[in-house]
Amino acid sequence: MRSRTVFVLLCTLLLAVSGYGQSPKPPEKSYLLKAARLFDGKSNAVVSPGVVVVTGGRIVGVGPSASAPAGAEVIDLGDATLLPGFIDAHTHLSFQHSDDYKQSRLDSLQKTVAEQSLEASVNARVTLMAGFTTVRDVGSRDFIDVGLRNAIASGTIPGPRMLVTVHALSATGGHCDFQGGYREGLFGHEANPSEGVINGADQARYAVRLDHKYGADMIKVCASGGVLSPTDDVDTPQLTQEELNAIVDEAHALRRKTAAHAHGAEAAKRAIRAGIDSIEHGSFLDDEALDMMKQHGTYLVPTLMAVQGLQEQFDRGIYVRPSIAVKAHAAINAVRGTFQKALAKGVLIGLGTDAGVYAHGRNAEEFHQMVDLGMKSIDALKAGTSADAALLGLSDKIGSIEPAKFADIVAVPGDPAQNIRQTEHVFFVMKEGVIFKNEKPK
Amino acid sequence: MLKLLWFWGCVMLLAASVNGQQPKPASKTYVLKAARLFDARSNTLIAPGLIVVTDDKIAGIASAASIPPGAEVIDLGDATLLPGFIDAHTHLTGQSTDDWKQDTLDGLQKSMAEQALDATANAKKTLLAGFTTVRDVGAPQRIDVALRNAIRDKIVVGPRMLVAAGAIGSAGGHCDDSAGFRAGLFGRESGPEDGVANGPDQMRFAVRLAHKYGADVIKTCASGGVLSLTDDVDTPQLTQEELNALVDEAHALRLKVAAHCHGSEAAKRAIRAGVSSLEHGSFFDDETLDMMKEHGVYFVPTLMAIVGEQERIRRGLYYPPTILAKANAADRAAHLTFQRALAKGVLIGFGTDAAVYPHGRNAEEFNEMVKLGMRPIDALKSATSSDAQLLGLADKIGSLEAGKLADIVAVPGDPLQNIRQTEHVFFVMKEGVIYKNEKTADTR
Repeated sequence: MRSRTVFVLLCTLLLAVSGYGQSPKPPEKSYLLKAARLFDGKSNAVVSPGVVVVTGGRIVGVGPSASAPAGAEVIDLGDATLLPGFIDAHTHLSFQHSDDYKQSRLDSLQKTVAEQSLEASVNARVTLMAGFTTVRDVGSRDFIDVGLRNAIASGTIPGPRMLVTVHALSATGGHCDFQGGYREGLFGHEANPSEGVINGADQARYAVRLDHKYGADMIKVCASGGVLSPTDDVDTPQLTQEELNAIVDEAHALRRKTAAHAHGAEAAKRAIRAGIDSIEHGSFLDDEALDMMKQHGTYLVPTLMAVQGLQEQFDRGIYVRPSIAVKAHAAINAVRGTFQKALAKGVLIGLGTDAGVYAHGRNAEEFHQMVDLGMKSIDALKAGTSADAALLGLSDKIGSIEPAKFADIVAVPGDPAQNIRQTEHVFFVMKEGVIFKNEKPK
Repeated sequence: MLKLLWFWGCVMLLAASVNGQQPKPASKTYVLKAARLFDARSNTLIAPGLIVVTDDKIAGIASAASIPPGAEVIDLGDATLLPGFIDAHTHLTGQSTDDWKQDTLDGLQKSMAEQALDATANAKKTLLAGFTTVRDVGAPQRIDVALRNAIRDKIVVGPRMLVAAGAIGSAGGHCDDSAGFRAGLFGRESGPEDGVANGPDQMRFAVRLAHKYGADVIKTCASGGVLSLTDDVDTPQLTQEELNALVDEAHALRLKVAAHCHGSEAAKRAIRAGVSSLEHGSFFDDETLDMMKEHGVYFVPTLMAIVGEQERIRRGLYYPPTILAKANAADRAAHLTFQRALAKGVLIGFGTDAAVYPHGRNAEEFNEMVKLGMRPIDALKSATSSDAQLLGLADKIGSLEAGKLADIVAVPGDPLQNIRQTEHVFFVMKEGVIYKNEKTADTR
């Protein structure tokens, strides 16, 4: 009698202990998303109708024959197209776009990092709501990008999944040396590797290690001058072959892909030889550089919205610092022609916009910018989905609507393959199975 | 043989006496004539006006003057000769433009060399406006010292300068130039080398540093201010002990102290500590003004700062919102305070806060004071004999008397009849050198 009581008591205890501290796992949420059409990110055409089954944040079924589990919530998006959540391979979510250049300069000096982070959270939300469920954020300061990425990942704030680079590595006085333009001594010391400014291969390696230490998912380097830096020429090569070799070597050893800001051809070629994974902007790339990119499988991320943003400021008479204006005009005049050459040669093209240089949230206009220059709509859509996913090394998780991928799904009215500008009217945004936006047009 | 030795000896002696010695320059004498003369000592004008200048000094005035032969006579006609004006509150090293944001960026982006060179234009405008001496009370990186020396050494044209080599105040106070920028931006918190001091010991250190690097006067920020980004305009920013230490150290080193001060509590602490002047004084109460009268502390109202700020505001030019609010509050109060100070007989010094308005408009301060009830003769004295006392230079400048430095200006007509004639200085002489003489279209 006593042993049985003990046994029951022990069992109860065991059961209690095994259940103690664990809330019962919630049943996984399921959705059945329906729309007139679907683009899966990889095919050469849009298919009809569009059906996607989502369970627990993952895509579990695609197409009319896909079956949804019992209790799945049905969402009928009507005359629309389902697409993989868009990817922007070149953002600066921690930069505020502004028509007031001087105020934005002062703000970057006066606002605390905490305040700048909170402001950046607005950019994150706006970007997600525009349909961009993943971004590659390629330059920030004071670890604001890391903070954003983590806060988004933990669900604290809404925003796209972020791959961050922490710094954009630069030579002293180069495009990404933030001290450029200020008087010597103002900041108490010359910018150094812990701020992403390097000289020599050893310092370059050290800076990559620091970025990796502080959370970088990818490594970004400024291989040439730029438009928005006040003191350099836009196209000059600013890092040596040895410096770039060291950066890419160390990054790849640590399993981090690399991106190089490069306007000028010489700078781009050094980066390509070093093994860079993508060239950003590429305004003045020559045939040799483009051929090398084709040969090495290097992506071109043209950031056409950057020059669009600058052109709009000129058109509206907004103040642009004179040294910058000259460079902006040169880049605007060159980059579209270079893009068309790259297209003709079959260079891999990724969608990236340089968000921050224009207002966050307008990212989808990059689609039509590319199509206006001759890219086929379906290829533009691929650039912003499966091609970018490959560039980011996340093809196994995002970039297409296929079973087992993350349920990053957006919807636009009508058919974007027929009218690419429909991409600018995303009304449904789901990221990892969570709906952030559902404004089905009546 | 002896004769030859004698001859060559004389030659060598002559050679030795001439070798390395420039021939002594001939003495230069001017006779300046005009219909009237204001000597800054009497209460009326002397007519006609005549000054004899020999080299850098006044040799004689009017009937007491004897005119040596070979003097160059300059007849300025229907004009009034006056002592060169003194502005006791300038910032020659800066200039506010219409673009506040660009001005702020320039301060961060322009090298000190470029800022120093830019300042030379301000110095020249000030001198040509008739201001032959200024007390410069705040500059970055001790550029004021460089400007003073370059003017003294005649490399640069400008007024004689007494400089503060920067201003001294508390962390986050009106004189802390890093206030408004995020913490850590400049690599370290501002310290005594930047004029930011906390506690009596650091105050002494900051005074010693200013003296070390060339200060002629010590400037301190006893209260908040209008054009600073993060403080209230009137709060007391230094303790009694801090001000005591600062003034004590300054006086030990024979340096007078000028205190920027808008609020009454700050003013009283500064007066008790022994400052020589209080600048701005927007919100001074009666007790403060009585203490100033009792201690002989000068009130430097800087009415042109109000003009500069209100002109910008009327034109809709950008000020950061916090500054806009403070400007309106201070500007509204300041005129009444000036009138109360005038009525009580507080010593009034002439100082304009040049840089807050465009350099060269300094003389408009005369009209601003007269509009508020000051007698024209007293306004003229404030910028001459009174300011000379404040600056401790009354033995050298501030009046037209034999033996004083030949700092002399002329305006058309009679400034006692129309004080605005002071804004039309057409003749400027400093230490006997003519920098402007537009009667003969001769401007240097």
